Amino acid sequence: MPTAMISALPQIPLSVGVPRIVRGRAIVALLGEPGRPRGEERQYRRAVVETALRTLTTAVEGPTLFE
Amino acid sequence: MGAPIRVAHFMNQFFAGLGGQEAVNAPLEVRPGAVGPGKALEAAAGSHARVTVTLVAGDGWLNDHADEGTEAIVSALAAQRPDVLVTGPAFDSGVYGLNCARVGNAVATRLKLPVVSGMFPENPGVAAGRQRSLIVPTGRSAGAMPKAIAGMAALAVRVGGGDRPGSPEEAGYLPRGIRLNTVASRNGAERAVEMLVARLAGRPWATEIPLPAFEAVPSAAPLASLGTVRVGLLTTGGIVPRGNPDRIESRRATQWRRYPIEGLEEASAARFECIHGGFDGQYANEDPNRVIPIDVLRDLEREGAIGALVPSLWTTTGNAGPLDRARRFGEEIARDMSAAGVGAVVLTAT
Repeated sequence: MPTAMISALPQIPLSVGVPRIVRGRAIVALLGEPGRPRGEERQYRRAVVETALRTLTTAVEGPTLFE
Repeated sequence: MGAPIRVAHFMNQFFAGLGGQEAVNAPLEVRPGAVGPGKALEAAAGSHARVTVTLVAGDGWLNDHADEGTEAIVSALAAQRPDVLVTGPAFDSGVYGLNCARVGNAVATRLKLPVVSGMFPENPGVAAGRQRSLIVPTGRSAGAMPKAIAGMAALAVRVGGGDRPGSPEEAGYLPRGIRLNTVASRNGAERAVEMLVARLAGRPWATEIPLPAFEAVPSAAPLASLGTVRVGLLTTGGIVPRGNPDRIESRRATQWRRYPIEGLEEASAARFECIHGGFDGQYANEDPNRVIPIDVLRDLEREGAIGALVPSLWTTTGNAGPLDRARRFGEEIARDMSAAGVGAVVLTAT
Protein backbone atom coordinates (compact mmCIF):
# COMPACT_ATOMS: atom_id res chain seq x y z
CA MET A 1 0.00 0.00 0.00
CA PRO A 2 1.82 3.13 -1.09
CA THR A 3 1.69 5.79 1.62
CA ALA A 4 2.13 9.54 1.24
CA MET A 5 3.27 11.23 4.43
CA ILE A 6 2.51 14.92 4.92
CA SER A 7 4.89 16.27 7.55
CA ALA A 8 5.70 19.66 9.05
CA LEU A 9 9.27 18.51 9.76
CA PRO A 10 10.32 16.58 6.65
CA GLN A 11 13.85 16.08 7.94
CA ILE A 12 12.50 13.51 10.37
CA PRO A 13 10.83 11.14 7.88
CA LEU A 14 13.74 11.72 5.48
CA SER A 15 16.18 10.60 8.13
CA VAL A 16 14.28 7.43 9.02
CA GLY A 17 13.67 6.30 5.46
CA VAL A 18 10.02 7.14 4.73
CA PRO A 19 9.72 6.76 0.94
CA ARG A 20 7.09 9.40 0.00
CA ILE A 21 7.10 12.70 1.86
CA VAL A 22 5.31 16.00 1.29
CA ARG A 23 5.91 19.14 3.32
CA GLY A 24 3.02 20.70 5.24
CA ARG A 25 2.76 24.30 6.39
CA ALA A 26 3.63 24.19 10.11
CA ILE A 27 3.43 21.96 13.17
CA VAL A 28 0.43 23.84 14.53
CA ALA A 29 -1.43 23.99 11.20
CA LEU A 30 -0.20 21.21 8.95
CA LEU A 31 -2.67 21.75 6.13
CA GLY A 32 -3.90 25.23 6.85
CA GLU A 33 -3.08 28.90 6.76
CA PRO A 34 -4.77 30.42 9.80
CA GLY A 35 -5.42 34.08 9.14
CA ARG A 36 -6.18 33.52 5.47
CA PRO A 37 -9.78 33.49 4.26
CA ARG A 38 -11.23 30.00 4.50
CA GLY A 39 -11.50 29.62 0.75
CA GLU A 40 -7.79 30.29 0.23
CA GLU A 41 -6.89 27.93 3.03
CA ARG A 42 -8.92 25.16 1.47
CA GLN A 43 -7.19 25.79 -1.86
CA TYR A 44 -3.81 25.53 -0.20
CA ARG A 45 -4.89 22.33 1.56
CA ARG A 46 -6.08 20.84 -1.68
CA ALA A 47 -2.79 21.66 -3.41
CA VAL A 48 -0.79 19.85 -0.73
CA VAL A 49 -3.14 16.84 -0.72
CA GLU A 50 -2.94 16.67 -4.52
CA THR A 51 0.85 16.59 -4.26
CA ALA A 52 0.51 13.80 -1.72
CA LEU A 53 -1.76 11.84 -4.07
CA ARG A 54 0.71 12.38 -6.91
CA THR A 55 3.43 10.62 -4.90
CA LEU A 56 1.26 7.49 -4.82
CA THR A 57 1.53 7.06 -8.58
CA THR A 58 5.26 7.89 -8.67
CA ALA A 59 8.05 5.37 -8.25
CA VAL A 60 10.63 6.34 -5.64
CA GLU A 61 14.05 5.06 -4.69
CA GLY A 62 14.84 5.87 -1.12
CA PRO A 63 13.30 8.64 0.97
CA THR A 64 11.97 11.37 -1.33
CA LEU A 65 10.60 14.81 -0.49
CA PHE A 66 8.12 15.90 -3.16
CA GLU A 67 7.67 19.67 -3.59
CA MET B 1 44.03 23.07 35.62
CA GLY B 2 44.05 26.69 34.54
CA ALA B 3 41.27 29.27 34.28
CA PRO B 4 37.68 28.01 34.16
CA ILE B 5 36.38 26.91 30.74
CA ARG B 6 34.05 29.49 29.22
CA VAL B 7 30.77 27.83 28.28
CA ALA B 8 28.03 29.20 26.03
CA HIS B 9 24.66 27.54 26.61
CA PHE B 10 21.76 27.28 24.15
CA MET B 11 18.28 26.40 25.40
CA ASN B 12 14.60 26.77 24.57
CA GLN B 13 11.87 28.93 26.04
CA PHE B 14 10.68 26.30 28.50
CA PHE B 15 13.99 25.70 30.25
CA ALA B 16 14.72 29.42 30.29
CA GLY B 17 11.55 29.91 32.33
CA LEU B 18 9.54 31.79 29.68
CA GLY B 19 6.73 29.25 29.63
CA GLY B 20 5.71 26.30 27.51
CA GLN B 21 3.70 26.31 24.30
CA GLU B 22 2.57 29.90 24.89
CA ALA B 23 6.18 31.11 24.59
CA VAL B 24 7.12 28.80 21.75
CA ASN B 25 7.60 31.73 19.36
CA ALA B 26 9.94 33.72 21.60
CA PRO B 27 12.68 35.20 19.42
CA LEU B 28 16.38 34.82 20.21
CA GLU B 29 17.60 36.42 23.44
CA VAL B 30 21.21 36.59 24.48
CA ARG B 31 21.58 36.70 28.25
CA PRO B 32 24.77 37.04 30.30
CA GLY B 33 25.65 34.21 32.63
CA ALA B 34 23.84 30.99 33.43
CA VAL B 35 20.08 30.48 33.17
CA GLY B 36 17.96 27.58 34.47
CA PRO B 37 19.77 24.27 33.83
CA GLY B 38 22.93 26.29 33.10
CA LYS B 39 23.20 26.91 36.81
CA ALA B 40 23.15 23.17 37.44
CA LEU B 41 25.77 22.80 34.71
CA GLU B 42 28.04 25.29 36.49
CA ALA B 43 27.50 23.58 39.82
CA ALA B 44 28.35 20.20 38.29
CA ALA B 45 31.50 21.58 36.68
CA GLY B 46 32.63 23.28 39.89
CA SER B 47 35.51 25.66 39.42
CA HIS B 48 36.37 24.13 36.06
CA ALA B 49 33.74 26.02 34.04
CA ARG B 50 31.64 29.19 33.94
CA VAL B 51 28.59 29.74 31.76
CA THR B 52 29.40 33.16 30.34
CA VAL B 53 26.41 33.53 28.01
CA THR B 54 23.03 31.87 27.50
CA LEU B 55 21.18 31.92 24.18
CA VAL B 56 17.43 31.38 24.45
CA ALA B 57 15.14 30.82 21.48
CA GLY B 58 11.58 29.54 21.33
CA ASP B 59 11.29 26.12 19.69
CA GLY B 60 8.76 27.41 17.19
CA TRP B 61 10.65 30.62 16.43
CA LEU B 62 13.92 28.84 15.68
CA ASN B 63 12.14 26.18 13.64
CA ASP B 64 10.43 28.85 11.52
CA HIS B 65 13.48 31.15 11.27
CA ALA B 66 16.16 28.48 11.05
CA ASP B 67 18.66 30.29 8.83
CA GLU B 68 18.23 33.72 10.37
CA GLY B 69 18.25 32.28 13.87
CA THR B 70 21.35 30.13 13.54
CA GLU B 71 23.13 33.04 11.80
CA ALA B 72 22.34 35.29 14.77
CA ILE B 73 23.58 32.64 17.20
CA VAL B 74 26.81 32.12 15.26
CA SER B 75 27.41 35.89 15.24
CA ALA B 76 26.73 36.21 18.95
CA LEU B 77 29.15 33.40 19.73
CA ALA B 78 31.80 34.69 17.34
CA ALA B 79 31.83 37.84 19.46
CA GLN B 80 31.74 35.97 22.79
CA ARG B 81 34.45 33.44 21.88
CA PRO B 82 33.51 30.67 24.36
CA ASP B 83 35.57 27.49 24.69
CA VAL B 84 32.60 25.18 24.21
CA LEU B 85 28.89 25.35 23.35
CA VAL B 86 26.40 23.29 25.34
CA THR B 87 22.92 22.79 23.85
CA GLY B 88 19.89 21.43 25.72
CA PRO B 89 19.52 18.90 27.26
CA ALA B 90 16.50 18.30 25.01
CA PHE B 91 15.46 14.91 26.49
CA ASP B 92 12.81 13.48 24.15
CA SER B 93 11.49 16.72 22.71
CA GLY B 94 11.93 16.26 18.96
CA VAL B 95 11.55 19.91 17.94
CA TYR B 96 13.98 21.07 20.66
CA GLY B 97 16.43 18.29 19.80
CA LEU B 98 16.37 19.21 16.13
CA ASN B 99 17.00 22.84 17.03
CA CYS B 100 19.93 21.84 19.26
CA ALA B 101 21.30 19.81 16.36
CA ARG B 102 20.84 22.68 13.93
CA VAL B 103 22.60 25.16 16.24
CA GLY B 104 25.37 22.68 17.06
CA ASN B 105 26.00 21.91 13.39
CA ALA B 106 26.29 25.59 12.49
CA VAL B 107 28.54 26.49 15.41
CA ALA B 108 30.81 23.47 15.00
CA THR B 109 31.23 24.09 11.28
CA ARG B 110 31.48 27.87 11.22
CA LEU B 111 33.28 28.60 14.50
CA LYS B 112 35.11 25.27 14.93
CA LEU B 113 33.92 25.07 18.54
CA PRO B 114 33.31 21.79 20.32
CA VAL B 115 29.60 21.26 21.03
CA VAL B 116 28.12 19.09 23.78
CA SER B 117 24.44 18.21 24.01
CA GLY B 118 22.11 15.82 25.81
CA MET B 119 19.17 13.94 24.28
CA PHE B 120 17.12 10.81 24.68
CA PRO B 121 18.65 8.36 22.16
CA GLU B 122 15.46 8.19 20.04
CA ASN B 123 15.26 11.97 19.68
CA PRO B 124 15.43 12.83 15.95
CA GLY B 125 17.99 15.49 16.94
CA VAL B 126 20.46 12.66 17.50
CA ALA B 127 20.48 11.56 13.86
CA ALA B 128 20.58 15.19 12.76
CA GLY B 129 23.27 16.37 15.12
CA ARG B 130 25.52 13.59 16.33
CA GLN B 131 28.21 14.09 13.70
CA ARG B 132 29.03 17.56 15.01
CA SER B 133 27.79 17.54 18.60
CA LEU B 134 28.85 15.13 21.31
CA ILE B 135 25.44 14.00 22.51
CA VAL B 136 25.19 12.57 26.00
CA PRO B 137 22.32 10.04 26.19
CA THR B 138 19.65 11.09 28.67
CA GLY B 139 16.34 9.82 30.02
CA ARG B 140 13.07 10.90 28.43
CA SER B 141 12.14 13.91 30.53
CA ALA B 142 13.44 16.64 32.80
CA GLY B 143 13.29 14.25 35.76
CA ALA B 144 16.54 12.92 34.32
CA MET B 145 18.18 16.37 34.48
CA PRO B 146 20.78 15.77 37.22
CA LYS B 147 22.33 12.76 35.54
CA ALA B 148 22.22 14.45 32.12
CA ILE B 149 23.87 17.60 33.43
CA ALA B 150 26.59 15.63 35.21
CA GLY B 151 27.52 13.81 32.00
CA MET B 152 27.35 16.97 29.89
CA ALA B 153 29.40 19.02 32.34
CA ALA B 154 32.21 16.47 32.48
CA LEU B 155 32.36 16.21 28.70
CA ALA B 156 32.15 19.99 28.22
CA VAL B 157 35.06 20.57 30.59
CA ARG B 158 37.11 17.94 28.80
CA VAL B 159 36.59 19.20 25.25
CA GLY B 160 36.38 22.87 26.26
CA GLY B 161 39.85 22.48 27.71
CA GLY B 162 41.13 21.33 24.34
CA ASP B 163 41.25 17.61 25.07
CA ARG B 164 39.91 15.01 22.65
CA PRO B 165 36.59 13.49 23.69
CA GLY B 166 37.79 9.91 23.85
CA SER B 167 35.68 6.96 22.81
CA PRO B 168 31.87 7.14 23.18
CA GLU B 169 31.80 4.30 25.68
CA GLU B 170 34.43 5.83 27.88
CA ALA B 171 33.35 9.47 27.70
CA GLY B 172 29.60 8.80 27.82
CA TYR B 173 28.23 10.12 24.53
CA LEU B 174 26.31 8.54 21.65
CA PRO B 175 28.50 6.97 18.94
CA ARG B 176 28.94 9.20 15.91
CA GLY B 177 29.61 6.53 13.37
CA ILE B 178 33.20 7.65 13.11
CA ARG B 179 35.64 4.88 12.37
CA LEU B 180 39.15 5.27 13.68
CA ASN B 181 41.77 3.02 12.19
CA THR B 182 43.57 0.96 14.78
CA VAL B 183 45.93 -1.95 14.41
CA ALA B 184 44.60 -5.17 15.90
CA SER B 185 46.91 -7.83 17.21
CA ARG B 186 45.10 -10.56 15.29
CA ASN B 187 43.76 -10.50 11.75
CA GLY B 188 40.11 -10.21 10.74
CA ALA B 189 39.73 -13.92 10.00
CA GLU B 190 40.85 -14.87 13.51
CA ARG B 191 38.62 -12.25 15.12
CA ALA B 192 35.60 -13.32 13.06
CA VAL B 193 36.03 -16.98 13.95
CA GLU B 194 36.44 -16.11 17.60
CA MET B 195 33.22 -14.07 17.44
CA LEU B 196 31.36 -16.96 15.79
CA VAL B 197 32.62 -19.50 18.31
CA ALA B 198 31.55 -17.26 21.21
CA ARG B 199 28.13 -16.75 19.67
CA LEU B 200 27.58 -20.47 19.06
CA ALA B 201 28.69 -21.25 22.59
CA GLY B 202 26.26 -18.68 23.99
CA ARG B 203 29.10 -16.57 25.40
CA PRO B 204 29.00 -12.76 25.21
CA TRP B 205 30.27 -11.36 21.92
CA ALA B 206 30.29 -7.93 20.28
CA THR B 207 30.10 -6.97 16.65
CA GLU B 208 32.80 -4.69 15.30
CA ILE B 209 30.33 -3.07 12.93
CA PRO B 210 26.98 -2.23 14.55
CA LEU B 211 24.24 -1.80 11.96
CA PRO B 212 22.17 1.43 12.02
CA ALA B 213 19.05 1.32 14.15
CA PHE B 214 16.55 2.35 11.47
CA GLU B 215 16.04 -0.35 8.90
CA ALA B 216 15.38 0.83 5.35
CA VAL B 217 11.67 0.94 4.55
CA PRO B 218 11.16 -0.57 1.12
CA SER B 219 8.87 1.66 -0.88
CA ALA B 220 5.58 0.22 -2.09
CA ALA B 221 5.21 0.15 -5.86
CA PRO B 222 3.37 3.15 -7.27
CA LEU B 223 -0.21 2.72 -8.48
CA ALA B 224 -0.99 3.27 -12.14
CA SER B 225 -3.77 5.71 -11.30
CA LEU B 226 -5.99 6.62 -8.36
CA GLY B 227 -9.34 6.75 -10.12
CA THR B 228 -10.46 3.40 -8.70
CA VAL B 229 -8.35 3.40 -5.56
CA ARG B 230 -9.82 3.46 -2.06
CA VAL B 231 -7.73 5.95 -0.10
CA GLY B 232 -7.35 5.57 3.66
CA LEU B 233 -6.68 8.56 5.93
CA LEU B 234 -4.32 8.08 8.86
CA THR B 235 -3.04 10.71 11.25
CA THR B 236 -0.54 10.89 14.10
CA GLY B 237 -1.81 14.37 14.89
CA GLY B 238 -3.98 13.20 17.75
CA ILE B 239 -7.34 14.09 16.16
CA VAL B 240 -10.14 12.20 17.89
CA PRO B 241 -13.93 12.45 18.24
CA ARG B 242 -14.87 15.20 20.71
CA GLY B 243 -14.58 13.89 24.23
CA ASN B 244 -11.79 11.46 23.29
CA PRO B 245 -14.05 8.47 24.04
CA ASP B 246 -11.23 5.94 24.14
CA ARG B 247 -8.91 8.19 26.11
CA ILE B 248 -6.07 8.16 23.63
CA GLU B 249 -3.11 9.67 25.44
CA SER B 250 -1.66 13.04 24.44
CA ARG B 251 1.85 11.66 24.69
CA ARG B 252 3.33 8.17 24.42
CA ALA B 253 -0.01 6.87 23.22
CA THR B 254 -0.66 3.22 24.02
CA GLN B 255 -3.32 2.80 21.36
CA TRP B 256 -4.45 3.72 17.88
CA ARG B 257 -8.12 3.79 16.91
CA ARG B 258 -10.34 3.71 13.88
CA TYR B 259 -13.38 5.99 13.85
CA PRO B 260 -16.18 6.18 11.27
CA ILE B 261 -16.26 9.24 9.04
CA GLU B 262 -19.12 7.94 6.90
CA GLY B 263 -21.22 10.72 5.42
CA LEU B 264 -18.96 13.50 6.68
CA GLU B 265 -18.18 16.14 4.08
CA GLU B 266 -15.49 17.70 6.27
CA ALA B 267 -13.86 17.44 9.69
CA SER B 268 -15.84 19.85 11.81
CA ALA B 269 -14.82 21.37 15.13
CA ALA B 270 -18.10 20.11 16.54
CA ARG B 271 -17.17 16.51 15.92
CA PHE B 272 -13.39 16.39 16.42
CA GLU B 273 -10.75 17.70 18.75
CA CYS B 274 -6.98 17.64 18.93
CA ILE B 275 -5.48 15.92 21.95
CA HIS B 276 -1.84 15.92 20.82
CA GLY B 277 0.29 17.15 23.72
CA GLY B 278 3.30 18.19 21.66
CA PHE B 279 1.99 21.35 20.07
CA ASP B 280 -0.64 24.05 20.62
CA GLY B 281 -3.85 22.52 19.24
CA GLN B 282 -5.67 25.84 18.85
CA TYR B 283 -5.64 25.88 15.04
CA ALA B 284 -6.36 22.18 14.76
CA ASN B 285 -9.33 22.55 17.12
CA GLU B 286 -10.65 25.53 15.15
CA ASP B 287 -10.64 23.54 11.96
CA PRO B 288 -9.65 19.87 12.16
CA ASN B 289 -9.41 19.71 8.36
CA ARG B 290 -6.02 21.34 8.92
CA VAL B 291 -4.83 17.96 10.21
CA ILE B 292 -7.36 15.50 8.73
CA PRO B 293 -8.19 16.96 5.31
CA ILE B 294 -11.56 15.26 4.92
CA ASP B 295 -12.98 18.32 3.13
CA VAL B 296 -10.59 18.29 0.18
CA LEU B 297 -10.48 14.49 0.02
CA ARG B 298 -14.25 14.48 -0.39
CA ASP B 299 -13.96 17.06 -3.18
CA LEU B 300 -11.39 14.88 -4.89
CA GLU B 301 -13.58 11.82 -4.43
CA ARG B 302 -16.57 13.61 -5.96
CA GLU B 303 -14.47 14.69 -8.92
CA GLY B 304 -13.23 11.15 -9.50
CA ALA B 305 -9.57 11.97 -8.76
CA ILE B 306 -9.68 9.10 -6.26
CA GLY B 307 -11.99 6.09 -6.29
CA ALA B 308 -13.18 6.67 -2.74
CA LEU B 309 -12.20 8.03 0.65
CA VAL B 310 -12.57 5.02 2.92
CA PRO B 311 -15.20 5.99 5.55
CA SER B 312 -12.80 5.55 8.49
CA LEU B 313 -10.20 7.70 10.19
CA TRP B 314 -7.21 5.89 11.64
CA THR B 315 -5.67 7.96 14.38
CA THR B 316 -3.20 8.11 17.23
CA THR B 317 -0.90 10.62 18.90
CA GLY B 318 2.61 10.61 17.55
CA ASN B 319 4.24 12.44 20.46
CA ALA B 320 7.37 10.89 21.96
CA GLY B 321 6.07 7.48 21.08
CA PRO B 322 8.53 4.67 21.75
CA LEU B 323 9.88 3.35 18.47
CA ASP B 324 9.04 -0.29 19.03
CA ARG B 325 5.44 0.63 19.80
CA ALA B 326 5.28 2.86 16.72
CA ARG B 327 6.54 -0.04 14.62
CA ARG B 328 3.87 -2.33 16.05
CA PHE B 329 1.13 0.28 15.48
CA GLY B 330 2.27 0.60 11.87
CA GLU B 331 1.98 -3.13 11.30
CA GLU B 332 -1.41 -3.36 12.99
CA ILE B 333 -2.82 -0.34 11.16
CA ALA B 334 -1.53 -1.65 7.84
CA ARG B 335 -3.34 -4.96 8.42
CA ASP B 336 -6.53 -3.18 9.47
CA MET B 337 -6.43 -0.85 6.46
CA SER B 338 -5.77 -3.75 4.14
CA ALA B 339 -8.78 -5.60 5.50
CA ALA B 340 -10.85 -2.46 4.86
CA GLY B 341 -9.84 -2.47 1.22
CA VAL B 342 -7.50 0.50 1.43
CA GLY B 343 -5.27 0.69 -1.65
CA ALA B 344 -3.24 3.79 -0.76
CA VAL B 345 -2.72 5.90 2.35
CA VAL B 346 -2.47 9.58 3.15
CA LEU B 347 -0.70 9.99 6.49
CA THR B 348 -0.70 13.39 8.16
CA ALA B 349 1.95 13.99 10.81
CA THR B 350 2.44 17.21 12.70
